[in-house]
Amino acid sequence: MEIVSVDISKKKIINIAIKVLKNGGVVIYPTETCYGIGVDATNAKAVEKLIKYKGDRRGKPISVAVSDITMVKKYADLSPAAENLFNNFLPGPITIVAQGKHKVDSNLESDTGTLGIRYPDYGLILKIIKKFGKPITSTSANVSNGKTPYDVQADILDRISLAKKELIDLIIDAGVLPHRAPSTIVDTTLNEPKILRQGEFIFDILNTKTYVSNSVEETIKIGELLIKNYELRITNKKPNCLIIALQGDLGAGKTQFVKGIARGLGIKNNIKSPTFILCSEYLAPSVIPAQARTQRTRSLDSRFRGNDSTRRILFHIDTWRMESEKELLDIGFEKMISSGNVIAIEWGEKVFGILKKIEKRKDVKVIWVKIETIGENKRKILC
Amino acid sequence: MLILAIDTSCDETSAAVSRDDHILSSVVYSQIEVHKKWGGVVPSLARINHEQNIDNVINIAFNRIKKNQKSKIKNQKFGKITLNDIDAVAVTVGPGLAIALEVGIRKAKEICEKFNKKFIAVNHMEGHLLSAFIKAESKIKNQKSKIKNKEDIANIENLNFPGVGVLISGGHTQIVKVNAIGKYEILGDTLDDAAGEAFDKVAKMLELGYPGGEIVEQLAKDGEPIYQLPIPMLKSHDYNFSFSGLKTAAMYFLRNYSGVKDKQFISDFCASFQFVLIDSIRRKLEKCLTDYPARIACGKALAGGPANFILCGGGVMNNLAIRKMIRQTAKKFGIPAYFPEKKYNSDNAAMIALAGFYKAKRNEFVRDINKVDRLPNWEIDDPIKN
Repeated sequence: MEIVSVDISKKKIINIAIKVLKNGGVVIYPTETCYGIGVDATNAKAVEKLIKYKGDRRGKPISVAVSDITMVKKYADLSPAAENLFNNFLPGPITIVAQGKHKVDSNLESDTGTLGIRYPDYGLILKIIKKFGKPITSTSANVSNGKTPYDVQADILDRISLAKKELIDLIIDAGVLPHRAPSTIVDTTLNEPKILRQGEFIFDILNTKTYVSNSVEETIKIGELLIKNYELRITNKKPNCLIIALQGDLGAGKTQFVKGIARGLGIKNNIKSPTFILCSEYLAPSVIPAQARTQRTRSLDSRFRGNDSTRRILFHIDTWRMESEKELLDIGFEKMISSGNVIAIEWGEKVFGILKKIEKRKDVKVIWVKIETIGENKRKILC
Repeated sequence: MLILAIDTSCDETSAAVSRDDHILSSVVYSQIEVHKKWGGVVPSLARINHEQNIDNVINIAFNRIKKNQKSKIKNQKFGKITLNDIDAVAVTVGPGLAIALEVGIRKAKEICEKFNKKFIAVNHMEGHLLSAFIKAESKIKNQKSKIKNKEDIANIENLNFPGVGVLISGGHTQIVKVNAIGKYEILGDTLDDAAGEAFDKVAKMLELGYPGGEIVEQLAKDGEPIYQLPIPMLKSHDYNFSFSGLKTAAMYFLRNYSGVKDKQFISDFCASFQFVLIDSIRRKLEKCLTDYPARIACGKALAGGPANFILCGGGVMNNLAIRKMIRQTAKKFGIPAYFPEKKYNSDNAAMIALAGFYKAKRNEFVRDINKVDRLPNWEIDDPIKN
């Protein structure tokens, strides 16, 4: 068994790993979730060795990791839903269950011939798979029913027998990984995609769309579209409080997106960045969308003092200056949660813990929006 | 008239006591206690925990008057001033962070009810606009005896209206037409980020820490504006600002820059960024001054004669390059520019006391204090009668 640190030259690691895989060896490797264990997915002897390591699988299938969508298509049939997931979210912590083409070892596919596919968001591993040219197995590096492995020594080596240790040929050690839950598993072979296991992935993956924005104005329009589509689905008289959690680098266009949300809500005020003030609030016309289009916004502040029971507020929060999650509560977050209100939060990932808890409330709906910068003016927006 | 002023509009808890247009004492929480207790670092909780700080800050404001009296104003014949002696409470009701504003308003209401005082609702931005006129009682003699620069001693009574106000802070970037004290029109505003915020965000991109606006200014002094960044709103025909595009352009420039990011590069980059930001403000300010008295912009006619002065306020006025630009612009148009003393650039209650005093002079007291509520979006030109 050889252990290499990810800190050494990437080229060297790739070469060592490929040599091991070609010889039917077993490689433990880091991913964006936990440590995975990989063998050549088309090599029956190698898969046998893997199953020996994992222990009693009770016929459970084993996922494979690929380096790109072209590779996937050689080994599985992708439904349109599966292809969408690939384009929208991958690489990332999602395992897609698709119909296999029986080109990998039969022990990896399920009894019904489906195959779990991972496209990990971990550059080094993608390079290894790409150069190897074939999928490798992608199951967590623990023995069956063992602790999810985030640390090579404590979670793997200290917990297995000498015999099992001898089955391992190479460990690529990236230290202690952030404790992210194992991937979200989605079955795409059915008419309606179904989540088999919910991981830490924050997007509502079955309902999330990807947009490409080529300008600030387009980003605003996408924000407006999001809220208008959501409004159309409001049927009950007491709508949920909608929380829109925005992720994206400095300058990605989060405030611009909120401008669109405000526009969609019928708010006429200019939406300025709330970075300094932490939270701005704007009064929107009443909840019912039909009214929202016809009713003119009255002076915001005079309305604030009235006893308008249908009043609806857009809160625009920026957590950029916040040092801890708790500051979100300090600015009165819990009081903002009320039927019909919309709370847009920039840098939503900074208050992930609070939002995860709030999300469980029946009167709250959380939508995650991710804005990725792909060019000076070009953005990929997931929402 | 004795006024107690309170400002809790965002990060700072502050209080001041004034006699007419003279400030007797001015206290800002982050500049006192916290420095002693935590060695200069303001913990996040204290930053917005006005509830905990407010009584203390008000007490210190009253206690400091005593000190001033003893040491500097020997001839004044009054004893220790207490809450009982004041005539009115002036408090910021907006714009600002709602939950923070509420604390100051609640405290002001409490005092007014308990001691039967008048209530003055002040706009935070009007405070900044008038902050150049803050006169500390103890300093008046000094000022009269050695006037260095006429422009430095602003006198509100001698102002020749109309003029323009330039308000630049972490949260605001505005050009305001000043028709009279209490009568304003917003000519230009930022459409997205405030200028101060843009400075802080560029500092973050350069990993200079937060808040890093001042560090950017310092580094810019050692650099030359040799890198080209787009001047925001170059083609817009209004007086509005936009700094988010500049922020994105700066980020892209840094991402694509292949050279070594050494100290010289960072200094030059800071200089380039600052140059472009200030230049965009200069262009809009000049446009405002040139357009007087004609034309219609932002849907508002700039009626009422040429601008006769420039009033400056807001935390970013600490930036010497911005001050220099405004001075030069004022000179070009042959009008004076008035700046606040350094300590009154950032948020403080002294400016609220002053704005409150002029409201009191116009008899603009709140009639029914039960109806007073925070106005987080209150624009300076919105004549809301509380």
